[in-house]
Amino acid sequence: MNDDNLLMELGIKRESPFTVPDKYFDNLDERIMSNVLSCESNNKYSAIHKKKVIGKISKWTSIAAACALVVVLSAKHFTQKAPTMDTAVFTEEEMSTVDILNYSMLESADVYNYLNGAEY
Amino acid sequence: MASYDEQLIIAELADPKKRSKAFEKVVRQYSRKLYWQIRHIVVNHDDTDDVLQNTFVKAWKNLDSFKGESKLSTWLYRIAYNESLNFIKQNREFNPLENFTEEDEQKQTLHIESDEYLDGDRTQRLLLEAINLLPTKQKAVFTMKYFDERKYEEIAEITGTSIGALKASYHFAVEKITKFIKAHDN
Repeated sequence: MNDDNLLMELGIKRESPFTVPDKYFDNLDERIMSNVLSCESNNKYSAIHKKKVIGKISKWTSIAAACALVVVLSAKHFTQKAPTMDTAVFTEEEMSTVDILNYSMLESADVYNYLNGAEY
Repeated sequence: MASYDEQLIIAELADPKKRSKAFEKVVRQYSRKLYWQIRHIVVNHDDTDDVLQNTFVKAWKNLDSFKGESKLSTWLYRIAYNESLNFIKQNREFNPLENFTEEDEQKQTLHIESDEYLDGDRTQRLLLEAINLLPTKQKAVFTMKYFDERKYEEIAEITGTSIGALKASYHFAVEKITKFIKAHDN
């Protein structure tokens, strides 16, 4: 037996048993269009908002990167070892003075006592 | 009502300046038809309204993906069909008819009886209860064939299923519904 005949035999009417609220279809198209357009404007807003956020993030990222660079360079600068006597570069004349000082073995206390006329 | 020329509408939809006005014409042409297709699958009026709104929003957002390979109406019915199935999958409280429990059946009866936008005699209410207990795709195929009186070729395009499979699905649905109504119609 045909499938549809099976249902008809049970006394089932083919018409839809559903109804809709009064005047539901009167403004349905307007509601759909306003929903569609508001979704679009929300999307546009979120796209603009996203761009702004990304713009702000990249601005702050650049500032942070610049600060980090300054900090790294300064740290490098201040942590560099001060030149020692050994590594210092002297002119020939300066070097001879340094040599005299080194080999005279005079301490600042000796110079002080000498100047005050103290006896050794 | 203004005349509806599908080819002209499709051309206007492709033009960003005319798109909004053209879409308005599409809404006017298909809102009721889509409402009834969705309503027969989703059943509840408020849920149908939500699914219908989502269908048009999706269609609007994906207009660029419409290549004109199928009719605009088929494309819209397909979106409505997919939206309806997704809605049911997310909200279904019942098991398919093969293994439904007495508790599912009671819930289903309450669900149908509490729908204020439902007219019809006892047999029609039983029919709806039986339809609601069908597996989701079978339910959609049955309602498109039985209530919307669509041809198998058209349903095949909307659902992406072969005509043979649709005929078999419809046949099994009728068998299950008949069995259910006979068992409950005292």
